[in-house]
Order: sequence, then C-alpha cells, then structure tokens
Amino acid sequence: MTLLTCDKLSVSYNRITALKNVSFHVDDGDYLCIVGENGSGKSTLIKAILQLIGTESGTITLNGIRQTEIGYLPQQTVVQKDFPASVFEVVLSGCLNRKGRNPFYGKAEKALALEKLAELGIATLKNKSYRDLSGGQQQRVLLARALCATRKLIVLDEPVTGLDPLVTTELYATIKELNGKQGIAVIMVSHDIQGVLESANKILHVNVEPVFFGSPSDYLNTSVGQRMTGGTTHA
Amino acid sequence: MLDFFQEFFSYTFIVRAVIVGSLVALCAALLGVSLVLKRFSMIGDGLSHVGFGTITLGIGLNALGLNLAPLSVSLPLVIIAAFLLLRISENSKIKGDAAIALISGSSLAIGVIIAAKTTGMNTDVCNYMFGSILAMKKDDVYLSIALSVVVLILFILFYHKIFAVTFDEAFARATGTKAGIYNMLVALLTAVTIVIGMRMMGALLISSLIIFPALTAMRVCKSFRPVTILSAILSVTCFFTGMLLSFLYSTPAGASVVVVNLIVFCLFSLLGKIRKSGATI
Amino acid sequence: MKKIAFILSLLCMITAFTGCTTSTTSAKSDRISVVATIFPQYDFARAVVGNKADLTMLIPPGSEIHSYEPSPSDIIKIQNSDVFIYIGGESDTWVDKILSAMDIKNKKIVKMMDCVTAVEEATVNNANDEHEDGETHEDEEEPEYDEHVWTSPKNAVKIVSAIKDAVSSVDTKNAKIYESNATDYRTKITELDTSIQAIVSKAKTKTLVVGDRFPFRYFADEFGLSYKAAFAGCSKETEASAATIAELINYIKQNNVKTVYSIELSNQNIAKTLSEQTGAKILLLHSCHNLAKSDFDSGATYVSLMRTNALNLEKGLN
Repeated sequence: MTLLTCDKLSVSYNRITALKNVSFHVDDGDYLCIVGENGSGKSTLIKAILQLIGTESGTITLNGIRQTEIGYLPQQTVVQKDFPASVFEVVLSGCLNRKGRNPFYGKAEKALALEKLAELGIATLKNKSYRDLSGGQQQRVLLARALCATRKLIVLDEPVTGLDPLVTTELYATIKELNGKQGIAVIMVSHDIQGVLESANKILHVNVEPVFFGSPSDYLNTSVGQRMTGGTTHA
Repeated sequence: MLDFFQEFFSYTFIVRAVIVGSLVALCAALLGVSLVLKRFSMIGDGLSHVGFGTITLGIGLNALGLNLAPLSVSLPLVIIAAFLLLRISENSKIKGDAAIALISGSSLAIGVIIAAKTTGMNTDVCNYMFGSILAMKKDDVYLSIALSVVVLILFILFYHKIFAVTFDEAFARATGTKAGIYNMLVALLTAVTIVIGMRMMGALLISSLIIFPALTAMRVCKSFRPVTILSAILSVTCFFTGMLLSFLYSTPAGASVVVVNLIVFCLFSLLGKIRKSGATI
Repeated sequence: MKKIAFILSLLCMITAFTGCTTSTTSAKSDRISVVATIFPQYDFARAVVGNKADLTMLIPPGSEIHSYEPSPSDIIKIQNSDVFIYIGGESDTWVDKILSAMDIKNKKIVKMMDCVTAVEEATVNNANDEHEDGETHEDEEEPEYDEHVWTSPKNAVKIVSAIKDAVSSVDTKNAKIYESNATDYRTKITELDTSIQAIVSKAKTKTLVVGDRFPFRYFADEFGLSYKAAFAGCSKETEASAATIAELINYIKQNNVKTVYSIELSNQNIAKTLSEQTGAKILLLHSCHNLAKSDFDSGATYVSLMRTNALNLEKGLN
C-alpha cells in the first residue's frame, strides 16, 4: 500500500525556488533515502511532507496514515542539547497526539514509551537527564520518541550528523531493524550515502528539481549516482 | 516572631502587595520556564520597556486632560507588542534578538521623552521604572488572581503540550500540534503578567522575575516537571522574603526581591556543582 | 517590520503633539522683562508689576520641578531679562551654573533664600525617631537648607518687598505703582497670616500629619505646629519605606488623628494608604511650590491657595 505520494511538488520561500516538480512515492515498508548536495532542497522537502512549511503547487497525499501518525526525527537544536528533561519525559512526548482530548498521559501511553525504550536498548536510561547523555544516546531517545508517534512511517533528517563512526553504524543497524522486522517505512535525508546504500530500497536525488528516483542499483548506474558514491562501487 | 508577622499582615497595603506580588511571581516563574528554555528570555525585557513607554503615554494623556487609567492604555499595547515580537522571532531567529532590542530601547526612549515633556520625571514615572508597593489597588488584586487562575489552568491542562512545544517545536508541529497557538498564549500571558507586575517591581526589574527562578531551578533539577514546580516555589518564596527584608531594612521592594533571587541562584548553582562533582567521585 | 515602523511613527507623532513648548519671549520694548523660575516668585512678581512689565514663568505649571533641566531657550530668556528671580536652593542649583557663565552686570537678581533666614533641612524623619538604625550623621558636608521659604507668610512679605526693590531700581518710571501694588499685596498676606494664626491658636491639635513630602517647614515653624510626615522635607526619594508607613499608621491610630494631609500634584498613594488603614480623612495642604495648569489658568494666587490651606487647617486640626 502506498503511504505517501508526492506529485509535482513545488516549494519556494523568500522568492527562491527550493523545490520544483518533485514526484515520488513511499510504500509500506519502504526505505527511501533522499540525497543531494547542500542546498538542494532535501530539508525543505521533509518540512513540506510534514506540513511544517507551505507548498506552492503540487500535492502531498497520505494514505492509510494520518498527519499525527508520522514519526519525525528532526535535526537537534542547541536548545535541546542542554534541556532539563528526563529521557522518559522526552520519549513520552511522542505520544502527545495519541492521547486525544485527555490532558494527561494514560497507562497505555506510558507503557508504549517504555516499550520503545526497551526496543532501542536504552531502557536503563529512563530516568536520566537528557542533557547528560552522549550524542548517540540522545539520538536513540529521539528515535524512541518518533516511534511512539507512529506505527508505520518515520522521517529522519540527517540522523547521524556529528556522531562518531561506531555509533553511526549502530544507529543505521537499529533503523534497518525497525524497517525490516517491524515493517516501518523510513524516509531518511542523509549526506552519508554510503552508509545507507545497503538498507535503502529507494533513492531520491534532488537538486531543486528531481534528478533521480528509483532503486539503489539503478542509481549507481547513473553518472550522478556514481559521483555521489565516489566512483564506481560494487552494489 | 508571631507578633511581628501579625503586625506585618495587619497593614492592608502590605497584604495587597504580597498577594499581587506572589501571584505575579508565580505566573512569571511558570511562563519563564518555557521562555528561558526557548532562549526567549529577552521578551520579558522588551515587553517591560514597552510597558514603561505605554504607561508614560497613558500618564501623559492624563496630564493633557484625557481621563484614562494608564493601565488601560498600557495593557492592550503591550499585548500587541507581544504578538509582534513573537511574529518577528518566528521569521528569523537572529533578527529576533535585534528586533527585541530595537523595540525595547525605542519604547524606553520614547517613554522618557513623553514623561519629560508632559509631567516631568516625577514620582509616578519613577515608580513605574523602579516599582512601588503602594501602587497596588483592589482592582489589581482581582486582576492578578484572575491571571494566576488562567496561567495555572494552562499549565495543568496543557502541561504536556507546553513541554513538547518548548522542547522541540518542529517535532510538535510535525505530529500535528498547533504550536503557534501555544506560543501566542504564552506571549499573551507574559504580557499581562508584566504589565501587572511592573507597577510593583518596576519596569526595569520585572523581567528578572521571569528569568531567575527558571535558571535557578535548572541548576539542580534534571527533568522538566521538577524544574517547573521548583521554579514556581522558589519564585514565590524569594518574593516573600524580599518583601520581608524590604520592610525590615527599608530597602526598595522590587530590588530586594531580585537580590534575594540572585542569592538563591548563586546558592543553587553551588549546590548543583557540588552534586555533580560528588557524583563523579 | 512595517508594523513596528507604523507603531513607532505613531508614538513619535503623539510625542510631538504633547511636546509643544509654551511660552514665547516678547519683543524688547520699554517694558522691563522679569523672569521667575517657578510659581511663588512668579506670583509675587505678578502682584507687584501687574501689567507694567513683561513677566515670564520659566517652568510650566504642573511640570516636575525637582528634576528640571533648562533648555537653551530658557537660558536665553534669563539672559535677556532685566530682573531674574529664583530660589537659590536644592532644586535650582542649575541657576548658579548658568549665571556664572553670563554677563549679569545689568541684571537685578533676587535670590529668595537670601531674603529670609533659612533653616537647615531636617535629616531625620520625625516619623522614624524610634527606628533610627544608628544613622545620625554629623554634618560633614555642606548643610542643606530647606528651600520652601515662601510657605511662611511672614517670609512671603519680605520677598515681595525684595522683588519690589529690584523692579523699582530698574524701572524707575513705574516705581510708585510698584510700591503701591506691593503694599496692597503685603497687606493681603498679612491678613492671611493673622487669620491662620488665629485658627492655629484655637485648634484642638497642633500637629500636622502629612502623608507626603513635607515642604512646610517654615510654615510649621512660624505658626508653632509640630509635624509627622512620610518624608523629611521635600525629599528626592520617590517611595517611603514600608516601615515608615507602618509607623505613621501606628502614630495615627495611637493619637486618634482625624486628618491626613497630602500636597499638591501628588498621586496620594501614601495618604490613601494611611487613610484606608485608619479612617483618617485626606485634606489638601498646598505648598504653592507648583500648581496644576488648570489652577494656574483659573487665576490662582499665593493668597488664594493659602486661604484654602487655612480652611483645611481649620477642618483638620479640630
């Protein structure tokens, strides 16, 4: 089933065209990697999908999933790195739009948060302060939060920026597992094309306009694909 | 000791000042937690300067014959300023800081000129700059009670939304929370808190009530709920202590409250450092 | 940004409208020019010269006197004046600076403080006698003199004479008229003086409780009144401490004081607080130092304001 369809999407702000005529779709269980150079509009595309910014033309269609059911892992802000919040509080906030009109979190939400913490192997960090964690641990917490919001689709914006290689590899492995075992569709914006080439089953390369949309193997056969992956590689 | 407190509370003007001040301190602290964490502390300063400018405008208009309570001139204008500041900061984070400074400085300057040209820098104007415990009337008591009720309801019912919007507005928006509304609400309530509290603490000092308690609580607390609760408790306690000291030692009330806040902040910072180093040993 | 610009320009326009300056200088004629800084001397001069001279009051009625800074046009007015009258106290130290930079050979200057015997300002607030935190400073600095010398009618008479002498020496043509005007006014003031003296001697209580600043030192001294006030003298302080107010409240309760006085142009915050707590009535005691524009426009004089004071004294001290 197709979860998300983008059809001829165009976005501009401050009179600059950020995206033009971008079309792609994400199905159940897909792992889409969005790549492109700096300033190519990758983050803008994410924000458009999440309705954080308005679009000029084109459509974004959600199917079988609501706006409130998309898990989002944004780039971390300076504010957050130093924020006094316990890990549990942060993860629980992912359930914000699940609890409906009730102003308080119920047992179900709390149980869900604990479950996600366990899934990502950070259950022991539950009562620690978020600001005392390492970069990698913080990303896991935010990932757990995103998982609380969704059962079907997560959107990750450059999740491994600033993390050391070992932690990066671990994080990719975790995401791959979520995609494979739990069937959660993944949309990831990344600079690190090498790292995700194994896991992704779709690549979208944008440079304001769409450059490529298709499978990784096809991507590697294009000139731009080869440039991005640093010469010919073996799939 | 008991005699002293009996005497202290036998004076109506003191009781009024304590009630209004404590409630303002409570609201300021709660709102301050969100504002400080969003790196939006300067809005308190900006709004209080706008408050000063608008109050002198009100006094000036009064001097010209228009019979208006300065508060009725000031409150709507400061609320408008709050929305404006919010709008500006939403559009560009860097511009936000400078825009606040712009509005802040201009309001103060315009206020001083209006004052100088109409009534002169007289008692009323000085009282608005530095605060006056005698300025609290019965209406202020009711107004501050109403304000506190609203702020408390907001914080209890929408606590989780406020946390989400404060911690990560992008995530909150992406998952469907109307972050804009909460930001507006916080800005609006901050504006009202400042206009009410400014008459007692002074335009130059009221923003400290917003900033200090939250910062102090963050020295020792690790998660959001304790920060919020401790911030509120500290704010009211420091306020009351400051009032007491000002009564005993004839120091200006507003400044005394801020100094007490400062001392407590230093204490808690020390405490926080000791705790941290204690944990690693 | 557009919205801010709009609001700012609106505020600027409002400022411009409210900031219109008032007095214009009259052309040089054969009338002498008399400049007085504030109301008391303006009123005395007005009584003496009538419409035979050009009289200007420098500080507009209702403006804050204690923080007044002269504008260039004010300085020019003083420069061009034939007779200049000021107090010579704390609030117009700026005058000395200006005069020292000016050629004052042909100017007659009347310094009110020199016309009378000045008294040092009380440094201890009567109301705080028990609460002294050991602060009795011996005067190491220049003693500060209370400048509200005109509040005593006997002093006012002396000042009127001094002003008459000054204008007569410059404008000899009208000297006789000035003499007769001055005598008239002195008589009125002396009548006033007598009536107040009568009121005070018949009064039940001889203590003034003032919930405000206290510019009435000379007045109180002349009529033998004692006083309790929120501030010692006409203090630069803007806020009385909570302790002082509590003291006053206690005093009023213990001594069954029925009336609390407040001065002109006051926000009455202190007086209202005292009144609320004790039930005492608030009455006005006008120090004639400054007055509201409306009073000025309706022709109030030192004598008329003092007559109101006499009435309020009678009501309040009985």
